[in-house]
Amino acid sequence: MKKQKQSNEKLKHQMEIQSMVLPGVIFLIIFAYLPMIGVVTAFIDYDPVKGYLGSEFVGLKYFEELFSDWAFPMILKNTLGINLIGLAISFPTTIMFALMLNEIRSPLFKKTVQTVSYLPHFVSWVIFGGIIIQLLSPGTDGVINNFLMKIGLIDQPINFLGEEKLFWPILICASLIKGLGWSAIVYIAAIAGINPEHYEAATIDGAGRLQRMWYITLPGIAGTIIIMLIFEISGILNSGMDALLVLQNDLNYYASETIDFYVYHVGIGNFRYSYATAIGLLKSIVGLILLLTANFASKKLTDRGLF
Amino acid sequence: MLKKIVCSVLCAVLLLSCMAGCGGSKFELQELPEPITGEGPSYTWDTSPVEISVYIALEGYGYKWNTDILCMGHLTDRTGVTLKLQSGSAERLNGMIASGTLPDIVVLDSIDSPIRNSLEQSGLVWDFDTLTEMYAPDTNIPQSMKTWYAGEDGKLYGYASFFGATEDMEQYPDKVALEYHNKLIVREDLCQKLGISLTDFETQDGFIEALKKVRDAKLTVNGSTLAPLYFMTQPHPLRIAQLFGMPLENEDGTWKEVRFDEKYKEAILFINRMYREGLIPEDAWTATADLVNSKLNNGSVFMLFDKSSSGNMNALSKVDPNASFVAVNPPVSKDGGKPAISAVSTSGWTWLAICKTSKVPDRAIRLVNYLLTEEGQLLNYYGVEGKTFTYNEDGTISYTPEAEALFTTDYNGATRQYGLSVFPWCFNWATYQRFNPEPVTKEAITDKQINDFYREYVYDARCAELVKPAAGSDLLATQTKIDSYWNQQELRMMRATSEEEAMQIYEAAVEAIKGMGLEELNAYKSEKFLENKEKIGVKFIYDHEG
Repeated sequence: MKKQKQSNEKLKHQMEIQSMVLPGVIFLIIFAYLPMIGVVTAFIDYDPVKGYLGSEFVGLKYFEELFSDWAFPMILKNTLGINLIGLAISFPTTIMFALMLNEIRSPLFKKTVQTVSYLPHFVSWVIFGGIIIQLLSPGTDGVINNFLMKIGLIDQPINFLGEEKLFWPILICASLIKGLGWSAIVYIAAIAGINPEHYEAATIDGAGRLQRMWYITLPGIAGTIIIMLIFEISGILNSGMDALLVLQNDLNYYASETIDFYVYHVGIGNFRYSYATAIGLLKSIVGLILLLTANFASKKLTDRGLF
Repeated sequence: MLKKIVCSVLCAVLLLSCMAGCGGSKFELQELPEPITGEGPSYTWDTSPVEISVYIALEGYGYKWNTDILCMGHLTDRTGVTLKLQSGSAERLNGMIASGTLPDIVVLDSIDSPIRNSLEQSGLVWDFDTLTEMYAPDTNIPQSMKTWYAGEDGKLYGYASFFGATEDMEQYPDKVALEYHNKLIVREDLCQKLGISLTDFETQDGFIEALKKVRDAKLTVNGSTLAPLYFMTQPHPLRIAQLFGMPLENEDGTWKEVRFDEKYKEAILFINRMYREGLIPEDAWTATADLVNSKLNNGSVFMLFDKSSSGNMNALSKVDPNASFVAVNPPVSKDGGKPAISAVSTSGWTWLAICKTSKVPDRAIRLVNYLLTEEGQLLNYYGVEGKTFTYNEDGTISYTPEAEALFTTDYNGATRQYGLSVFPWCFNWATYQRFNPEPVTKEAITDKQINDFYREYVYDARCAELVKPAAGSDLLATQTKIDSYWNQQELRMMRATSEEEAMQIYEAAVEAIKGMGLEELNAYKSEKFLENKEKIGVKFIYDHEG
């Protein structure tokens, strides 16, 4: 009771500073918590005309439907495959890129590399994907096919985006190119926060560049890496809709249909909001479990975590 | 403790108030205003300024009302109506419904939209019978549409654009005809060059051999290699099966599961054969209509399946004046038979309804009344008399020299400048057919030859169109899953490495869709099909004897 009173007193004294958090809290309530009421949709046969109260309660019907859906194994495999392989490749690549960028001594060259690597992030997927489609086109205008044919590696053009087995690598590479520079910013910022005295001391002790990167830079940004990894793991069931909207076609459907896209096609596209919500809810629950597990594992192993 | 209870109660109240807001009482339904009468057409009875909001569930629509633009200004001058146009997705419309904020008029992207049933059955839209009787008795809605779209209470709840009214076909038999997409056209000039006869295409073997000649010739046209074949969108067995002579009805008059038909199977194998022979370019499998059109205009396509629209020939003749397309007879199926081509949806395209939340339903129905007059109809396609078109002596229409010049140099720009195509949601295609003048130019004559070539094989298949299960029903979910699964398997069949492999995939896919609930779905569709036929009083939709 006494502790509670002290806490309240403390809060009262900090009111001016604490009040600064209010807009954020209000934002969260309006845009994150209130819409959660819509979760009800997953358990009713939602009809926009009848509203929530007028629609029939159907319990777990839509969850059962998802698990018995012929497409479920396919969309799960694609979602996990694209995201896990993507994470395994893009996560270390981004960190390495940030480390290497940090080692560039010429300011002009560093800025040039940064600008060039950030640029694709600001190009929409419609344009970026369009460029990729054009480059990989099996028609006479496909630059890559023409090049491969010119140097004699292939006789006939390859329909890169029509081959199921090539879709994952293409999507992962394209996403990596588009997001590499931008994703590295957070690490570059973390590196900038490392005390330069550590580097100076290490240099005096005779540490080379690689040793400084290994013993100072990496431990210095370990906290950021862990947090980013936890976030990435919790989002493992999310997939970039923009990229798929541009790059998916009938021929690569079996490799490109992910959970999010399936929700869009079968759920929202057919006005089956309850089904779409059920899948979305399930995805959120799994994401939350993954977040907690990753956080727990991180705390046990590295003594670092989100909370 | 007390604080916690108060907090809990407040949360519960908040939650319930939110839920209540989402309940059924969110719509402010309006009473109908008193009717008025007057002289002349009913849209002239009250031309005082009024704003009518319209939501059009067509994402690419994008028009905003601007009375400085000829056709929009003309409509406002004639009716006093200013339209507040909004357009976007059907999902957005659902959001508007969920929040209880309906516009005066809604236009659905398809007569088959699940939202149509929801709106009709929930009593959120006015029936046209009541509105026309009270406010616009001279509204030109064909009886065949009233019969076809009659709800359970026998009333009509909306207007279907591009509806194939039997009255129009009977009244103007020489002008108004069923439209269709299944056209097979080839480059006549290149046939002569490559030693191909137009009759070569009439057998499956001859067809393949002719295309092989094109493939092997490797002709270069405007920097691109001449492709033997493209489809207007992507290869699809249904269209070819129809050219082989497969109607959408069994001989006993029942609904047909086309996927199990022998001719459909034959069409899959025929496409597969073309694929294995390397006659279908790889990008044809994922091509969009725009891409195919650009290739057509470039002159780098020898044959096109499914030609759907005219106008392409003009662009091609600019690139190569000697290039000419011609329609040819399709290859016959193994057991013979003439083509059986279902017309482009005669049930219509968009669906327009007037909401009961509207405070001006009288003005809304009179707007529809105006748009359905000859003047209103011509406004959408030809513009304003004396400004963009004039009547010819035979009753057809020609653009004025200024408009013609503008259309020739920049068709899309001219359309935007005049504000044409603003009202496709209240347009009857028969109007275009009735007033379109006889072709004069070489390109227009070619287009007509192509468009008329298969016309004798076209039949009205509207009864097989509206057989979709109701919105939100389990059967609709079943249909979506079956169609999605089948479409992917069908691609594999068409791209199989051998005929045997294609048939193996086919057999497995048939078993799979049967396991997904096809029988129940087809029972529903068969029942709806028979109901539809009963509604318009026909026993067969296709002449099986002929």
